[in-house]
Amino acid sequence: MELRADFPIFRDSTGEHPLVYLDNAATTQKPQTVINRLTEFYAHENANTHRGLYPLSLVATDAYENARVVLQKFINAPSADEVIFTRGTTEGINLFAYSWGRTFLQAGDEIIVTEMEHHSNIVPWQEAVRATGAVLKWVPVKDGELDLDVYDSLLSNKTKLVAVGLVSNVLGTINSVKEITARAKKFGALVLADGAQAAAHMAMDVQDLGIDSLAMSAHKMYGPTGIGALWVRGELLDTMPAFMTGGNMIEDVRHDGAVYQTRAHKFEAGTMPIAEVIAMTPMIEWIQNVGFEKIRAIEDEVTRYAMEKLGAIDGMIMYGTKNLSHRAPVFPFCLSDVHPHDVADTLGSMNICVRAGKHCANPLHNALGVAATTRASLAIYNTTDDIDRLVEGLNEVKRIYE
Amino acid sequence: MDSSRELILDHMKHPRNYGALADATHIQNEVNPACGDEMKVYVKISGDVIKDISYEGQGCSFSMAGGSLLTEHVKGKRVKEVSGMSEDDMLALFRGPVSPARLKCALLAYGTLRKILSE
Ligand SMILES: Cc1ncc(COP(=O)(O)O)c(C=O)c1O
Repeated sequence: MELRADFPIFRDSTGEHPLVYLDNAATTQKPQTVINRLTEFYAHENANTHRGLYPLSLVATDAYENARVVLQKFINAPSADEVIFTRGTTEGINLFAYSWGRTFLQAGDEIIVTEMEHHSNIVPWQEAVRATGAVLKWVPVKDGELDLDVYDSLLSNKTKLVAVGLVSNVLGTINSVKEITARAKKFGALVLADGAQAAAHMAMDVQDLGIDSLAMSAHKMYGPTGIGALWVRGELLDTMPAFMTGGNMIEDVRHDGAVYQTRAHKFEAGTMPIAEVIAMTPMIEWIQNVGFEKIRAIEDEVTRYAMEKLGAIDGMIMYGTKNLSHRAPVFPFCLSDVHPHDVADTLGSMNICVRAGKHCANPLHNALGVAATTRASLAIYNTTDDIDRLVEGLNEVKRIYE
Repeated sequence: MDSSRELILDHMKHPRNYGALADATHIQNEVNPACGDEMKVYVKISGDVIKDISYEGQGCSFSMAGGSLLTEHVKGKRVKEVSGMSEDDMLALFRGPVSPARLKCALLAYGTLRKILSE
């Protein structure tokens, strides 16, 4: 596949067991253009942003601010100054939970989360309610999807925020966040969407979704680690106090206080991962060159193949909805009573990379009633050959452990 | 398959000292929350000797084989001697390298027994 050739890690992996990478929900591989951008910056353009008056710094600042505009357009945000660079989804959600949560939540207020959230969209809210006396409410999972009837029954005028993932990192469920948001808005609640698992697979249009905030991580969408973004609707962002303070985010500092910058810049304290921010531009260009229509079509084909081949293995228990139109290419499963650690270990010895455990979603595993699962998750470069190798590997697991 | 792997599979599929111990003097439960592995160790201490020991649990090959290897190793030994057992001593029972990802599993039974002995 020509797209796969853009990723040097596959080019370099030959021999008896070439790399079969099926842990894309943890992090994706990086195309050459992204890797090149990082080295080019460090080799030829390195300078700190926003401070220097010399050309090198101005060029770096331009490239940094340009990435903000590229990201703004990618998620169709109304304005670039609403896009805050963060270390990733986790930092983005924490930023919101500390800044907005500690300021506006009061005892008795309610936050709704779902049982299929990643811990990073749960624990910051547990901390926020602990600090404020607000209450956490949970939308349960039924047949691999959110139970929206229960969601309706949880919504009330006490609901201040709904925190929901666009795509589950375990079940692959594509949640109907637009519908969830429309219902929340009837009660005046804000909606924060966790876009970590959606970003590589589908278009995220914050205005169409109607949400108030979106968090994402570059490393799950073919980009560098250590960088991501939090979008917050401008008028809301204007009401939020600074999260971290220090250099860069200030306008002026006096002995008796400081004046902060506004909007996104107020939330970017200290020197940011400049090279990583700048490398988000080729990352998004790469995604847009392929296009989400084609991404979806390719991933759908491999998904169908995987569901059929994996489902045919004796002793295979697959989790998640069977409705493929509600499903991103993530497959959690259990193989007979072989422990997922042993499954992943054996596959690993064949250079087939999958993850085993609870995938930072303990409440979901408790709800599913399983201690752990094995998870295969796809990206655009995975092929039906990869699935064949996975099936071979799983047959080897059965041979060893059964 | 290497001999360490064969040893682990053997102890996993044919666990030694598995099951409850009716006349245990000490019982300890442990879980590894990361992967949900559960371990329960039963010990019968008489004087300063581990007269009998057994385990029950649920988990991967490393945690289950760990219970089998450990109980086999310490049965009949003096408490003082077993108390001096280090993590490395436990890992040595696997007779091969234990990858960092499996350390917690490999040490689950050992950690459970240590809780009893440190009381
Ligand atoms: C749904 C979801 N949310 C949040 C995160 C956290 O992302 P990060 O570790 O990049 O902050 C992940 C990562 O696994 C995820 O899958």
